[in-house]
Amino acid sequence: MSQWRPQTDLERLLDALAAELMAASDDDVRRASGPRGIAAAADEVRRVIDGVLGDPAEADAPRGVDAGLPPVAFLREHRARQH
Amino acid sequence: MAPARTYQNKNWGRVRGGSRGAYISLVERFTERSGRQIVTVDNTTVDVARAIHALSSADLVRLKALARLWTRGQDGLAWSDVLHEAIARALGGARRWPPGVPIVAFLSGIMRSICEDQWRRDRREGRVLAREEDVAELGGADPAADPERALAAAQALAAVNELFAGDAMALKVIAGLADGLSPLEICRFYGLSERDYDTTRRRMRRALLRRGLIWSET
Repeated sequence: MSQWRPQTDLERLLDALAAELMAASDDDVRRASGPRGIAAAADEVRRVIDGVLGDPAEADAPRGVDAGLPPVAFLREHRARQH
Repeated sequence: MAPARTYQNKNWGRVRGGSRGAYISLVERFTERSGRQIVTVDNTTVDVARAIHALSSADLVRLKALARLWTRGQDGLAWSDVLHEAIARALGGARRWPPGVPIVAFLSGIMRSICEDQWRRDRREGRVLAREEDVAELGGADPAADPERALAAAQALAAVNELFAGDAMALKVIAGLADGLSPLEICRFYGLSERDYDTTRRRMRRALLRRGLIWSET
């Protein structure tokens, strides 16, 4: 009889549960979360995303291109010059 | 030459960025064409940024639930930190976005990897220690396996079982998934109809989503 390896079971289970979450339909999400729950969770995640990519609301101010700026800011300013 | 720039500019027009997002630096390059400076960006990175910004609210809920799933039981590792790091790695090129893989699945895979690395780091630094009596309680667990890891895994399995404690069919599906059985095998082994299996999975998804929204930070 083979020995129980709980970590192997856990890995398989978490992979399967992650797949279930990814397969959840929008209706599943709505039923599980409710409109307020979705809005609140989405806002939380958007804040995390903005923490990496920056706030989209800041992306439109045209300025001169400065290669010394951090890369994403440089990219944004270059884009602004194209318009 | 106008065509190439036109194509790139379409990408730029959709990329949003702020001064804190320094992760694109690895894939930017500068070239001279007709004496004018041009910035080019790896399309994969641009695509990742664009795909993340295009995520729907429902996708963001899924992403949060996935982050919570991967970080459950990881003391000191918040779901938001793991998601932040996953996005940074995806944009930095540390992980390439394979063609055909949805962005949520791609980020989920990176989060899984980050949590696994964190577990190994904790163990190396001695932050994970199992008590002898707890390890002894594992009984049939493989003695060759890492005892701390086996104990933590057993506790995590128990926590998942607890989540579905009131749902006998879900517990059967959970047990089958943990054993690596296919849906067909689970149905055969536990005597579930295809319809039972599908409705159980739907209940499980909703329970996981609800749990993903309310799980505590630690």
